[in-house]
Amino acid sequence: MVRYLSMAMALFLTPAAIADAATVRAVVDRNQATVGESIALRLTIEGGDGEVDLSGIADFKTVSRGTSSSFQMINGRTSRQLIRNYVLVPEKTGRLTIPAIPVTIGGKVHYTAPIRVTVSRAPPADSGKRDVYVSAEVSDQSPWIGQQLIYTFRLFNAIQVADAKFQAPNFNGFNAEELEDRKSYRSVINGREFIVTEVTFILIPVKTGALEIEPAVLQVGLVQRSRRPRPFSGMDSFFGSTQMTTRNLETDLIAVQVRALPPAPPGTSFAGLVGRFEIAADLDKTDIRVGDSTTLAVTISGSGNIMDATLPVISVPKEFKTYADNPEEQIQRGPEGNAGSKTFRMALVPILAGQFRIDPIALAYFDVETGAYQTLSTATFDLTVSPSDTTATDIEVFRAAPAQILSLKKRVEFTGRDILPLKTGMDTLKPRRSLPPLWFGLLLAIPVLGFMAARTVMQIARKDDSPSRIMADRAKKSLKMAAATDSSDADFLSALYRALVSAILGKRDVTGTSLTWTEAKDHLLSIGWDADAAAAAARLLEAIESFNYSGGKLNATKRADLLDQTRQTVRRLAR
Amino acid sequence: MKRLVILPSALVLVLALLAVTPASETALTFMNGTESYRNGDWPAAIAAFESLADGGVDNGMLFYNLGNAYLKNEDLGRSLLWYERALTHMPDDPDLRFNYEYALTLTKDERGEKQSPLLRILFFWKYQLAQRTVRWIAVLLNAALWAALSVLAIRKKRLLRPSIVLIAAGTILFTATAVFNYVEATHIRHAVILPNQIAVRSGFTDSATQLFVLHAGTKVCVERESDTHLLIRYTEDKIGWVKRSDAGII
Repeated sequence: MVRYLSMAMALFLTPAAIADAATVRAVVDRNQATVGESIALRLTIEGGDGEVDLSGIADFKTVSRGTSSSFQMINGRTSRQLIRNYVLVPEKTGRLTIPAIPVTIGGKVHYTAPIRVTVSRAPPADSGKRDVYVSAEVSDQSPWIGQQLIYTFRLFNAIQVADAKFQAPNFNGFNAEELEDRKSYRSVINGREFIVTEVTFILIPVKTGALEIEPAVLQVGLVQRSRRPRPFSGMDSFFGSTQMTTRNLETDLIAVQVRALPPAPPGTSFAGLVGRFEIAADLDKTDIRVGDSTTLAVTISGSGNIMDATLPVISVPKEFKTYADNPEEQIQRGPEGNAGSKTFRMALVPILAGQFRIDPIALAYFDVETGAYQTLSTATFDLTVSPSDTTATDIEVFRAAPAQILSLKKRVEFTGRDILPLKTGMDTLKPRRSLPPLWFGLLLAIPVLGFMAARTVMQIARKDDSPSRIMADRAKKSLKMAAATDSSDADFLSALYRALVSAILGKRDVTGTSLTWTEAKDHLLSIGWDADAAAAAARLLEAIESFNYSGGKLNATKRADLLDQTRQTVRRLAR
Repeated sequence: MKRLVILPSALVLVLALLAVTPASETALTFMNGTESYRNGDWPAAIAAFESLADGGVDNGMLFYNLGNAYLKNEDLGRSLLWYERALTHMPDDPDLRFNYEYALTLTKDERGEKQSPLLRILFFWKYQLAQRTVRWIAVLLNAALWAALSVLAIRKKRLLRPSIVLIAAGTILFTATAVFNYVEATHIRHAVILPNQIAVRSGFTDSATQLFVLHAGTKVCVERESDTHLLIRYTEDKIGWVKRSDAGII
């Protein structure tokens, strides 16, 4: 038990012992640098996790570069190393000091040793002494509002660079558009060859006054071969390999003074274009017929805000109809800025014959080189319009684009308007009285009533077809046949039998042609006859059957008696 | 005996004359009207045709002629009023449609209540057939339906059933349309603005606020009537009073 407690105590006290043995140290990869060059700082903590406080570093900008850890076993003892990496960028020149950095481990503060670093000013860019540097410039630092500027950022590197990250300025007060193609070429500066990479923006100032273009920032990794062993270059130094250091490069701030455009001279219709421009016009046909079309093409070309060009005012004679097409743009964005042409096409369709003139088309723009408004004009066009073969005076033509064949089909338009004539037939005088609602309702109701009447009649007729009725009729008819004096005995007896059976079955509402006397008795009892009457009727039926099957001769008295009994029975059943 | 024969004959002759004379006058008036129209005497043509209409001739062709005469007389409002009246009798008449559409191009106001083209397609029979035709079709289909039902009740032929379903559907459709037409004619009244320009006001007096202005030929819906004024609705949000004489009820 004591042994276990001792072991537990030992385990519990070990961290404290380790904390007591904790050490921290800081090293840099160099202690001489120029402004803009970064210095790698490595902080090693042994004996536990520690909280590092870099707030005391005032002369450098610090950027964390991550943490790593490792374990070491020396003479059977293990120790853990925690390594924190930082990049320091000096913010001024001179002999700077990285002060003692406090590291708190297990509540106890440990300090690193201070480090002195000498930071010197970078040699001039064109001295050729700098391995890598950046620059930025604009094509004009006092432009007119609306004038396009070219902003060029350049990276000069005499050594290999990698992982470049470019952060463009905000260009506040400008419309900025970066050219997609980045230019790269070699240039010799002060006898040293550099690779130059250019990033170009087209800027158009949108407000006047003093504007500033902030510095562009490029973070770049410099790949350099080690000249001497570095403190933590590891095995790389043994093989004389390369190492990469990160540097933040900034351009200078650029001040731009944007000038407002002077007022346009009286009578000048300023088109809003700023730059240098030309205007040209072309008419594809000057001799046409009424209804034919000719295309007037007006092309404005030059450099500047050409994309903002609109169709100048064209004084087309009123005898022409005009149909404007969509403008055609051919604008290139290059190191010289936006340049190209914009062509406006318009189909002109004369509606009257004669001689006509299209006056020169004027374009007033602001010339950035002379700093004044310029007015350009096209030539005059004279048109001869001869009469058309057709008499139509109102001709519709749709969009006329170049190299597009106009449709020969034309929309048919009225050439005169009038109403169609009177209706003179005598039908005009026939009053066509409308059907009043009451009559309409009646006419709708009549078929319904007819249907209902027919249905009622049918129902009544159906009642006559009931078995009792049929059998009653049959009984009646048979009695009539039996009563006929000229009938034979066989016919007489058959008629009596049929009359009696029909009367009995009819009373039960069933049809049939034969019954035995016992069945007849049962039927009669079932319909409420008393037993004597039922037996009498059954005996009558039996007697009729007996005479019929015996073939005996009936005298008149017997016939009358049988007929009388049968008639009475049938009448009683019919009640 | 002879006297007995002559007396009825004379009576028949008198009755025949009484019956023929108005017809001849009507025909004469009509011919005078067409002649006046042909000669460009539009007021005389209007007077002739209107006397026929006032005399009880209720015929779409006569109304069409009146529309033509008024249009020639440059009275667009009354022209469209008579065309509208003619359309209730013969909506499918091509001459009428052509002249009516032409007259509409001369109006100054946009159509107030625009009818959905979809409705005209879905309920084409309502817009293409005269109301009278719709009613008679409904009556005939109804008769055919009940006759078929009677046959079915007597003969019990199953083959008849699909035909009966079809006839029943047609009967319901046309009867409902006819009933709707009756209701529409009774409760939904339209009018056409007659003068070249009128002010639609908030009240009966001329000092009432002028709400908006309408021009000849504009079709409006009559919401209410008083002895002297009509409350008309041009669009959902434009309602006001006009004098009775300024709008002709269709």
